[in-house]
Amino acid sequence: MKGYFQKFKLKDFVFLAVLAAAMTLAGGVTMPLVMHTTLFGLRNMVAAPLYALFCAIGLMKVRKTGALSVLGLFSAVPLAFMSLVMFFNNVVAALLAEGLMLLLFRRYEKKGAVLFAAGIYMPLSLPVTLVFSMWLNGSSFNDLVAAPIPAIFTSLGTIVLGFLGAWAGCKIAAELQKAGKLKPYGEDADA
Amino acid sequence: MLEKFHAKRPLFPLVGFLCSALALIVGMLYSKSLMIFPYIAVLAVLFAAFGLWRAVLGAAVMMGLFGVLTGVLSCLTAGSFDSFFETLGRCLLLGVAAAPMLSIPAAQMTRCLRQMKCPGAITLGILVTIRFIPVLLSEVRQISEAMKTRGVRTAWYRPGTVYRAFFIPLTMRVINISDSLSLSLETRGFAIENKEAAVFRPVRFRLRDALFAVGTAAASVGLAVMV
Repeated sequence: MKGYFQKFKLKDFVFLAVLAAAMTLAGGVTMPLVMHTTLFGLRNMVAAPLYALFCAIGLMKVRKTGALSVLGLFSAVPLAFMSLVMFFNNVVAALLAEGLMLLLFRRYEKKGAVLFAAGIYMPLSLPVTLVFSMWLNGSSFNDLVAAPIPAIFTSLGTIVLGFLGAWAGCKIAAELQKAGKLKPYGEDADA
Repeated sequence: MLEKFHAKRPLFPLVGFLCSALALIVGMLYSKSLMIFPYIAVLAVLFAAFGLWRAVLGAAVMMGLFGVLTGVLSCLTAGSFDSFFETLGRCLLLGVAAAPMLSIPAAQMTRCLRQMKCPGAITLGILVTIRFIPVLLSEVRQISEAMKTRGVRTAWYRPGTVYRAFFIPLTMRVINISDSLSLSLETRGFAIENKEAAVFRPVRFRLRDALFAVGTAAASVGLAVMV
């Protein structure tokens, strides 16, 4: 039985950093498609499946408490150079997702914990986005409540696509684990 | 990726970060006033005077276009020109406030963090993330070329093809790259516990950085007083 908090090794940080680069790249591909829209939650919805997929792969390999926060921090840093809001959005969402996972599952030992944490990561960025969109667009919470249908659809879409992406990520990781390429807890001795 | 925005003489990274945050927060607090436009202009001139003109120009043009588009949309929905100017002002501010951060090379930022006793693993991770975005982009291109060569046809109603032909090879490459990189780092003696590591070309706080910070603070105080 492994403890709650395990020490991170160098290769854990490197793996999470390379995955964070992949996540940033995925964001760079999807963001231009929805950059010019003001519809609440659409950007989160588009980014959700790919972010969740890479998060799930990362957590299937590095099943250590804090892995999602580290991944969130690394993926947020390139965004800080462009917008501090996106940086805080990513970091806060990662911390919240990890906190919820710790409350419900205590550690990443079960596949369900990985699926939950990776799936809930992007939906948890919605509240931060709400605050930001009210700040940037000057719209109040009442405006959102007055016409809630599109926002409800995009929020539900973010949750569904987030969990679909996480499921796909777990599936890819499970396949690679079966092939002996991706071993959890750093069991592989090649680095 | 962001190299074209880098300044010839970059600012002290922490000053850049704090000035970006200050300009953004103060600007957003007073964004309903039309005084936001002179504030943005003053910031843009100040930043350009300190050699950040590439970042200012790039960010202002990009966010200006975005602001015009979202401004028109908000003008149509709200039915007043005020909302157009408010949205345009906020978007321009977002772009111009990002200029100090855009102009700082990632290596300078990590050196600064290292000097501030930030854990080596974190600075390494940040550097790897930024450095490997173009590497992964070329990997993605190679995988796409391989898919074309093999005649793999992708369509939204065939997600299994993308899964099998794109995501599995990409994940394999991510694993291989991270394994090779970890091995390379360990061979070169890099250890995350090594607290006494030397910093190559340490970043120094100069008078220029102090003047930049004072200028940004003065512009922000000026906005607060005038509004």
